[in-house]
Amino acid sequence: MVLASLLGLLGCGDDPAARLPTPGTELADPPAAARAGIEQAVARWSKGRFTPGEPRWFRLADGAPPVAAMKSVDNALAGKATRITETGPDGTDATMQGWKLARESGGHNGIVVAVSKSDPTIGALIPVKLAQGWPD
Amino acid sequence: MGLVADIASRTSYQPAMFPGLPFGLTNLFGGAIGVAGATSASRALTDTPPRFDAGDLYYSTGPSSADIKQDSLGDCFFVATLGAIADQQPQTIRDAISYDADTGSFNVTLYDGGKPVTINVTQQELEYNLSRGGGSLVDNKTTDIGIWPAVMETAYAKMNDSNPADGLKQGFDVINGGGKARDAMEVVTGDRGTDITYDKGFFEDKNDAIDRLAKQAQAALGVGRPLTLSTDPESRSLLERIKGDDGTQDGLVDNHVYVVESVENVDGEWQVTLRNPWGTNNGVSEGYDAQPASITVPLERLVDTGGLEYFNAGAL
Repeated sequence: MVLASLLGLLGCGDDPAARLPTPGTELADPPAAARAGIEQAVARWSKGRFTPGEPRWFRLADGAPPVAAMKSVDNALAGKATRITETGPDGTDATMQGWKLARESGGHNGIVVAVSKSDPTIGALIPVKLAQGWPD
Repeated sequence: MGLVADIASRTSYQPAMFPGLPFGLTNLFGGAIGVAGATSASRALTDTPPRFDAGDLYYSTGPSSADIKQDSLGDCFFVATLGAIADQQPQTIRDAISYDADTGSFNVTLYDGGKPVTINVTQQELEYNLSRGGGSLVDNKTTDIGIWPAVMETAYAKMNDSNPADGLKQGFDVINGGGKARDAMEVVTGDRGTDITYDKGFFEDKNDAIDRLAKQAQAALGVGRPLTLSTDPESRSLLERIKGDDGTQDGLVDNHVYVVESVENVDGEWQVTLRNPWGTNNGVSEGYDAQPASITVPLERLVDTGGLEYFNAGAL
């Protein structure tokens, strides 16, 4: 871990998407309805924008709002990514925010966080491969 | 009038014939009078009162920071500033918003570059705010609530939208990107206020510098100036960074803005009580999580960790 941190400080071998702590508690088996809503929302937003990787699911702390998840990722990625201005599309069951990583690692160069609207305690942290030309 | 109808699918609002009358009575008259062809089936359908009107702006005693819950938008700088103004100068909020019964919309006065601008907020735009998880409690509960934070926030999003005619997604995305409390103070009041920062002189004792800082913040609250506190991430030593340690945490959300509720000296130690616009301090994950929206932190801890960016005190 110390070596990884040192390499990270030197800008080598850092993989923020893989090392990023999930906001709240990581879940192996999220509630089906929230999961389906998020997956549909991500599929819709991804068209022409990014290719989603394997999501890591989480449950937010009791009463914590969706913005707590975004803030957690914002702070964990400080200096390693820029927040994408555009948010996920209207009319879906998720609040979505993306980040563009400073350098590609493990086949992905972005991160998307989605929090269910119908069950705002459940969210997903998803490494993504951004499409050429998006979000510029 | 309250939460009586879901108008999310309605695209236009026709003014009620007797806007001062209760909801049911207004419709009854609208259907019964039938003046010279003015009343038809279609008129009766469209002549529905707006979901929100002047009576829905404030709950109980008026605007306060307790009406705010930042859900999904990253605009803590704006909603925390709104909360600070509501607590200290509620009339500023009341003066900023007016309801137009003829159009069923709200007019909001904000400041763009120090100059007042009036922004019209429609019912449809308010509904969009709620669908985005905006800064009011209206999307979290159905009673004892005021819509004013959503009205103000929607006006600010509209001010930041280059083409409101196509909806306010762009404007909400802009304010979702964050900002500074002093800028929000200027947008709402026309004055950027005064920044109060920790500034230890070279020969000054740390405790004296904290004492000076605390007294400035306390005095600002004492005379009725709205006060916010902006945070930075805690500073880390090189050793902590190499070891991957987070360093000493202050318990506050990093890069966030809080409403300052009080600054008090308790047994020789300055304590700051802050209200998190999230409406809770759960989910902060810095070792001090708790359900209440308010949290009390020693000012010295914020100074020592580097977590204090600045206080901003609005003008009188």
